[in-house]
Amino acid sequence: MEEKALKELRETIRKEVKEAMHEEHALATSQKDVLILAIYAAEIMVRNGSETYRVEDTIMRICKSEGLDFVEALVTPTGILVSIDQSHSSQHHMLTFNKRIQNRLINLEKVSEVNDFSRRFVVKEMSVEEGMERLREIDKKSLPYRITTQAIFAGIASGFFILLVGANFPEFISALLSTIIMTFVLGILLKRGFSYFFTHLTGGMIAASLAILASTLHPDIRMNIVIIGGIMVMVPGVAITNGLRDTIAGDLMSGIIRGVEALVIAVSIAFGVGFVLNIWNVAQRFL
Amino acid sequence: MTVALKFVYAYIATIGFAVLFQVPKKTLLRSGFAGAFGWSVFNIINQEFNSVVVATFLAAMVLAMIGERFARTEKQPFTVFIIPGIVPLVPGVALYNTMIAILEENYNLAAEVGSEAILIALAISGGLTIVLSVNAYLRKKRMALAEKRAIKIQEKKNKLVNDQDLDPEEQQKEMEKTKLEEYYKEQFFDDEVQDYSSDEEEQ
Repeated sequence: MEEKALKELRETIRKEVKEAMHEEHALATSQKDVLILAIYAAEIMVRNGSETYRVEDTIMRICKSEGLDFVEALVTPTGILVSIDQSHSSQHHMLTFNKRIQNRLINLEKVSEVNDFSRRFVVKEMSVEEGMERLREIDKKSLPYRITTQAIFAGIASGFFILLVGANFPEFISALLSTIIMTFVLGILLKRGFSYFFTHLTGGMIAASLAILASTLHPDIRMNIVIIGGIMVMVPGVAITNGLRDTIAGDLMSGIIRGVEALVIAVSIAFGVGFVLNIWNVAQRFL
Repeated sequence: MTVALKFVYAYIATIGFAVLFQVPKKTLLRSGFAGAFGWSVFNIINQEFNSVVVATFLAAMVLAMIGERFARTEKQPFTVFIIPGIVPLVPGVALYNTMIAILEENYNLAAEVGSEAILIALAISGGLTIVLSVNAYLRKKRMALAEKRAIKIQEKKNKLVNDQDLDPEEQQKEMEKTKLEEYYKEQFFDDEVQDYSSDEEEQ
């Protein structure tokens, strides 16, 4: 009799432990799923040129909406680090995820879509699995404008920009055409996976050579203003401004990373333009 | 005349830059306005006071205000409107001049123009940051106010329902008044409460 009771007791304890373990496991996996989702959303945002605090904010909101009280996110343009747990007081189920980000570009459409997604997710419009599906959809989307469209609009932008700083009509036309060619080449080089330094160096060289060509063809065309129109499309003004904004807001690491990125781009453009201009100066002596 | 013409040029140029930054198609036309207004402010103030840095600073502030406004009405992150808009203000010309000065080995001129470029960049980011942090603070305050009002109205409603001494006609009247109040609250505060598409820098 006693043995039977003992056996039953053992059985129930075993069952309870098993259930508890199962529950804990389920809890851990659901936490992990949320963390993976948050990291994925953050990765898409950083890769497409979002600001640091917006990414951190998105991670916080996604995790907190799923009942995770303890969220620590460290976002830089080169990597994301997130730790989560159920509560602030006991941190026994701490999970940490580290994601390295290799290359970045500016695609504001994706930033906007992930932002919209996080807003929908937070008000429980979708489950974690559906959210993952939606994020994959966003990630797979191609650029909204193709390279040719981009090139044409870049030409228009540079042409109208130099009209703003006082260009005449022939300069407008030459900046338009040279920037279209330059942006097209730049887009193809970036697509092939060349580094920032090499692509912007090439861009600067093309802009300078086409400007020199235009200035020899027509006496009214000033070389400098056409080059300015060309490099305005590549100039890392956004990186400089975002870097300074991050620094002012206290995200010092992101600020420095963006600042260095801007410096590399600026130096490579200057290198390309300067190289061609120097050669032209030397060549003029012989002509 | 030239101001209007330059407004149009800046509008078109900003749309061109917006395409380069892959702005969503439906907001393309609107994102041109931030840049156009920003450049116009820059142009006018630069002509009046003859100071590029001050003009850039004020232009960045105007740009940030317009971007915030559009971000709220369009439910988009405000970067979509601001990033294309700041490109015409960016010190591209100053950077180019710095580079030319370095090429000519005229380092005094390079330092002069280079520091101007840095000052312009600082002016842009300073202007943006000031407007965005003030707006974030105001939004927080408004949200707190809206919440307080909602609680007050709920309390009033509960009181009216539970009040036995009031005669039914008056109760009906009061109830309608509260409903009206609630309606106005929704009209003015709803987007504030639900919206966090734009900036919230101070966590």
